Amino acid sequence: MPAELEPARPEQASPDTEPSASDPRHSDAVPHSDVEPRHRDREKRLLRLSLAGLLLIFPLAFAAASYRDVAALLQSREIIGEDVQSGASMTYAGGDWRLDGFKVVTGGDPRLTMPEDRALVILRLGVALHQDVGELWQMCRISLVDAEGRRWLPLFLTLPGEIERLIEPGGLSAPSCGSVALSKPKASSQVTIEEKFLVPRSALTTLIPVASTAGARPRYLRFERPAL
Amino acid sequence: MRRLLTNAASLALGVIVLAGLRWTTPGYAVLTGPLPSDGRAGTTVAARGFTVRIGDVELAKSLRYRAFGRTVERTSDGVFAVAHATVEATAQSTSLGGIAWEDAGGIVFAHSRRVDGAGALLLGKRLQPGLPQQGLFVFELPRGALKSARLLVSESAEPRLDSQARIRLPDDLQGRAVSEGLDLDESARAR
Repeated sequence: MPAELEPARPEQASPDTEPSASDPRHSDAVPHSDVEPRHRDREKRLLRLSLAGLLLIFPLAFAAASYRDVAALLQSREIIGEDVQSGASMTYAGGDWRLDGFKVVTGGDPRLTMPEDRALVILRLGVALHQDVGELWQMCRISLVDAEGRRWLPLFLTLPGEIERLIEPGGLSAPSCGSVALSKPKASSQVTIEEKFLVPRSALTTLIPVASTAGARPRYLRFERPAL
Repeated sequence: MRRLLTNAASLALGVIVLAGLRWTTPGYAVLTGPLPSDGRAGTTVAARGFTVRIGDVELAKSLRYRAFGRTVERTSDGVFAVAHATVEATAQSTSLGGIAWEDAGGIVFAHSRRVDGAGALLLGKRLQPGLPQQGLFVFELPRGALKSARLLVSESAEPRLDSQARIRLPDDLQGRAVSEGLDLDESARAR
């Protein structure tokens, strides 16, 4: 590169580029016009080439410097949604995911009575694993999203066994996605994930469960759920 | 000679311009600091992920509340300021980790940790979209900090490039009566 950008002075002596008296740029008394037209053209061409090169170099430098940030951003965002039909399962992050339960608790037994504006949602996902998923499932994120794009994140909540049985007679509670990922489940095993959410009753009609893991984002799953 | 002078002058001009740019550029801490959403008490102030509305502010020399099955009492040589607030998450479930009181001189007082365990506190409480929560912000302050104060509310304790609600409080706070004792649980229930 630097060699090409050298001034063209060394070639001054070549006879065919000798300043001619007919050239107005050289016939006058200005002593600095020592760059011949041909070299000047070459210099201009190089200048244009360099400027055009910047157009290429800047984006490349940006890409090289920010590659890791972009990768991290994609790993944190849910961008490409894939719909999972009700009752069906879909392959994602090393397993087949299926919506196993979407239970809304608003009352019934006096011990389960909720204030009028809110409801407890208990979400269960079943996953049949194809491979070991400890790494793939890091930063596992299960949430409920409504039509306005508002997002409810799981509660850190352990219910007393008595309440668990009231909600799901005979059903044992399952661990959250994060705990399942930490337990490093093995290939060809079946795991159940359970998450609990506190949501306004007014949003219940449009709430959709979505799931994603760091290893598979920006792809994520949107589960169609049976009507309430 | 003239050429030399011209060169020197342009060099000096360049130095001055660059020095000016350097002196007037805000520091890194300011450039990456909180993004303010300003408002005043009594109105709903919207930040990026939550809204906050400050109601009445009560002043007391001592506070009482029930925590872990017993009554706790806290007294102060300064004054406790108890602000009634309604907060709601708007984008996704979150919590408020930054609740502070800024006095007229810019001194920032963090939310009091001496009243930990009181049920009505909003600091760190889980907020869900669509479910507004009413509760209290509690600060322990010297009397001088009551004048032209602002509340600073944000999701993280030290917001960087994230929004911070800044709520101007009423100017008459310093002149208000300070009650001897205030029950936090009762005060929260009463509104």
